[in-house]
This record gives sequence, C-alpha cells and structure tokens, in this order.
Amino acid sequence: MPVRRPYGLAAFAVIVGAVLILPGLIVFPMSLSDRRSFVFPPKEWSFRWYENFFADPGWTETLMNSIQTALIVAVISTIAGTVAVFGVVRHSFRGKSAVVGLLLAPMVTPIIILGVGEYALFLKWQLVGTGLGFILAHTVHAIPYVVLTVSGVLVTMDRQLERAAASLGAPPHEVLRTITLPIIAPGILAGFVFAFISSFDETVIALFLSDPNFRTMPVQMYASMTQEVDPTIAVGASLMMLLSTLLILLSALMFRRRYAKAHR
Amino acid sequence: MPRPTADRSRGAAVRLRGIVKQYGAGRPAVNAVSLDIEAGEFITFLGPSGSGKTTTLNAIAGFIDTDAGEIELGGVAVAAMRPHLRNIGMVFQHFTLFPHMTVAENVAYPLRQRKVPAKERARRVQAALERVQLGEYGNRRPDQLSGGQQQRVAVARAVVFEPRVLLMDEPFGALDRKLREELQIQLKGLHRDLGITIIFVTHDQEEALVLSDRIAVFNNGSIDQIGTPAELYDRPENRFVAQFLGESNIFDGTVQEVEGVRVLACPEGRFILPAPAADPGTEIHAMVRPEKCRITPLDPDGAGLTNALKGEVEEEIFLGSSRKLLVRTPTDRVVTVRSTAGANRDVSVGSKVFVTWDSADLLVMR
Repeated sequence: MPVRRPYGLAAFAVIVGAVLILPGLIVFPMSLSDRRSFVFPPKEWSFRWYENFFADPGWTETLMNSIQTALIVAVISTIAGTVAVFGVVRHSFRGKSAVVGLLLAPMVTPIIILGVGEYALFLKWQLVGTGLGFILAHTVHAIPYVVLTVSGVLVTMDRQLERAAASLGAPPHEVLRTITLPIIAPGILAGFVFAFISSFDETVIALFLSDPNFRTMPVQMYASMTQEVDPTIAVGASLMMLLSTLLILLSALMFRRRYAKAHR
Repeated sequence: MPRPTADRSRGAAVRLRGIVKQYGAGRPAVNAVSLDIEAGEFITFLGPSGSGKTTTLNAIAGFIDTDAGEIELGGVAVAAMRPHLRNIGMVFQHFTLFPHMTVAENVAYPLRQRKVPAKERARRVQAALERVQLGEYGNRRPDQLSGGQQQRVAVARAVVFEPRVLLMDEPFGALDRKLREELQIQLKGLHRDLGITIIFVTHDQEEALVLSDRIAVFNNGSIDQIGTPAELYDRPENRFVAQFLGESNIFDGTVQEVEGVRVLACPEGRFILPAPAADPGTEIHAMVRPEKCRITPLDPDGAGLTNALKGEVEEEIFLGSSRKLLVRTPTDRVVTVRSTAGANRDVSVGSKVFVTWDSADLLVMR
C-alpha cells in the first residue's frame, strides 16, 4: 500500500530542528580554530586547543568529575526513582498525592532556589566542594526525570501479564524479574539517560557547590569564559555535546533494536 | 465418532463454600456463593457483567482475597494460598502472552518456574504447541500471530504444566464468531483428551450451551441455578434464568380458576396452565420458547379459553434453517415465534395472525 509521505511536515520539522541545534553546533568549528579568539568561522584549522584541553588537568579533572558524578547520580536516581514509582503507581496510601508532588517538586522549583538552599545546608554539613555533595544535589534534581519516564511505562503496562505469570507458578520476585522489569526496561533506560544528562550539564547548583577542590565541567567552562578568552572552552563544549548526543543515540538504538526484535 | 474420554480423575474437584467478596459499601460483588464442581467437569459460570462470575473465578485463582468462605482444590483448602502455589492454569480474555518472549519461551515459562530440565522442557513445549496445532510457531513473537493463534498459545501455556484445574475468563470474547466456534470445538476436544476440570466464564449463553457439562447461572453476586444445559433450558427455575438462557416469551400474571380450569391471567390474555398449577391468586411467571409457538392465520375457535394471542407480524427474520417472526399484540407486546423454514409461507410482515402453543409447553416459574 502506498504511504503518503508528509513532506511539508518533514520540512517544517527539519527547520525547527535546525533552529534549535545549529547555534550549539558552532562550538565544533570553533574548537578547531588555530587562533586565540572566538572568530567564526575560523580562518585556519588546528587541533591545538584539543592538545591544550587534554594537557591541562584543570580541564581533564573536571571532565572526569562530571562523568563520574553523572554516572553515580544516574544509577542512584534510577533505582530510587523506579522504586518510588512502584510505590505510587501500584499502591494507594494516605498522602500519596503529596508524595508524588514531592518527587516532582525539584523539576518545578526554580533551580537557583535549590542551589541556594543546598549551598546553605551543605555548608553546615561540610559537603561543599565534595563529590558527595554534588551527587546528593544532582540526585534530587534527577529523580523527577526518572519518575516521569518510568511511571509512563508502568501505568500503561498490562497487569494481567503479571497475573498470568503468577498463575503459571511464578512467585512475586520472579514475576518482577522475568515479566515486569523486562517490559518496563525501555522506560527505565530512558530515565537513566535523562538523569545522566541532567547531572552532566547542570550548572546553577554546581556553581554554588564548587570550590577549588572539586568542580564540574560546566563550572570550569563558566570560569574560563568569564576570566579569559580561551578557545579551550569550545573543546569542552564539543566534548559535552558529543557525549550527550552519543548517549541519546545509543538509547534510541537500543529502543529500535528491541522494537525491531519485537516486530520482526 | 466419539473419542475415548480421558480419565477424569486427572482433574481436581473444586469446592466453594460461602464465598463473599465486598468492594466498598453496598451489595457484595459475590454473596455467599457455594458450589461443588466435580473432578474433570466442564462447568461454565454464565451471567451478565457485574454478576460476580469473574470475581468468583479470580477468588479460585487467588487473585483476590475473599472476605469470607472456603475454597478447596482436590480436597486442599487454598483460600489463604498465594496464586503461584495453587497450580491452576488460567487463560484470560485478552491474550496475555509475554510480549518480550517467543511463543516457545512463553509456553516454557511455567516449566522453567518448576525447574523442569531443559530437554524435557523442550519436549513438553513442543507437544503442547502441537496439541493446539501450532507446532511450527515456536520461534515466532506473540505479535506475529493472529488473535486466535495467540489464544491457542495461551491455552498451551496454561496446560503444559499439567494443572488439574483450568480457569478460563471469557477467553474467546475478543474473537470473531467463526473463530470462536472453531476454538470452542477444539476446547471440547482438549477437555476430553486431558480430563482436567475446566471452569469457564462467559456472558455468551450460546457458548455456555455448546461447551458445558453444567452451567452455573450468576445473577447479582449469587448463583441462581446450576444444571446441565438441557435442564436450564427446559426447566429454568426463575424468570432471570429463563430470560438469560435462550429466547423466551415470558408472561407475568396471577393464577385464576375459570370453570374449574386454572389459567394464567395476564395483560396479554388468559392461558391454560399445565397441571399441577399453583393456587388461584398466586403471582407467577410463565414462559414459552419461540420454537414451541405456532402461527395460525385463522382464529382457532373464536374467543374463550385458548392459548392464543392475536397480533400482527412486525418483523420477519430469515435464519437459514428457520425463520423468526416477531408478532406485536394489541397490548403492545412483541412475541417471538420460530418456525421451520418451510412453514407458514403465506405469513409475512403485516399479516394478522394468531400465536398458539400447547399448554404442556408453558413453563411456570415463581
């Protein structure tokens, strides 16, 4: 059967996508400039700022800090968020809507408020400038993403499948392991990716919590930008963008493989 | 040719005693249901939605906690037992195949849970798939199968671990009529071969008549009547059963005695009651099946004490081997008559006719 392809709609989508993405893509050519300037387009090309980036522990350390923090945040918030979703989706209890509100609150609270509050609290707890402080703050910030994506799949899952599994002899933990988790896995994976990225590029809270001992990549970039004219920042921006894009692509690919497997 | 019937002792007897399930306030969803199901029996829970049939089934499966009552499977009390320990097969209305597993993995699932060794598992999965004529489909994904095929896989999965009881919750409800009839015949064969107890829930009375050894008619959370399909059809005990099972013409009125003959006096007229009839003054319901009614174009013998209803044919429905006539009486009541295809050829829409029946075919209910 011939499919009518909506070319007009596709063209519109491409234009909107371009408007959104192109300004960000400028960092790639800028990172390949050979001048100490942000002139666009660069006149000569070189990798000197990449060399500079990887030679400078100020940059490499903060990049590793960011990656490590984001990974740990993603793991913790995915587990905590998923467990919380099971609680609120599968059970009814007093104060349930309050719990849901609390879980999602970090998403709607102005991030500057979160940053100030956490700064004040963490000063007292001596967590400013520590990896643990970043992990705690970013986990709070990441949990809503996990809650939203996981509840999306859990709510729509057919619970008769779990009853069927139980009738076939599976105890509750086996039902969870062999039926529920595999079926909602795409939602959990998406939550993980969003949580990672939300921590990886988080800047406002990070500005408050950073000190010379511990800072993350966005803070390093901000400092570099405000204190000097150094195209190394374009390298950092390019790397961040690449990593985030790769992660999203990877999860999209895994989705498609699952989908293709299921619809072969 | 009748096939030999499997040993019915492979099935387990199911005993329900005073099952009560209440959701919130008001009338309980299931109200004191008691029932003895024999080992190897095919019993159908028949009733409209909200009658408690599915709730009772879910109580047997263990999916809901009952508020009161006892459930025994093969002599063992199971009311407090978790569903996965009850060893009951179950087939659901919506094909509940696990979407992330192949057909063979689905059927193997209960065997894996029971730690059946791989080699025997593969053999039993294949045998179960072949039993439902899907031996070649093991490597497919569930969504590559048609609805009927998926439901056959679900049946294979529910019997592969040789449960003694199989529960079926409107399993063919989502399928079209022709497929449903095919699957009903296959299910009858499966029941004969396996000899297990099958409890089948449906709101489709034809399906219940085709499949069942016995039918339990559910109404408002309790069982109105239990019996073989013929018993329920020929001797319904109340108005609800008469109306729900098969087509019926029901007349509500009181018993009167006219010239020594007991009759039913109702808005439609006076009809002679079969003996022994209730005492005059008693309020009763009388029912005559459409196939017991006859059409006569002429007044049988004028007025008086006859089982005759005057009316005009309003609708004529051709059903292949038979014909259904809807006759509207002057009291604005529509009576259904079913006659064999060749009979009453001269009668058509608009004909003024009489509808009559033998007194013996009038069934009286309280």
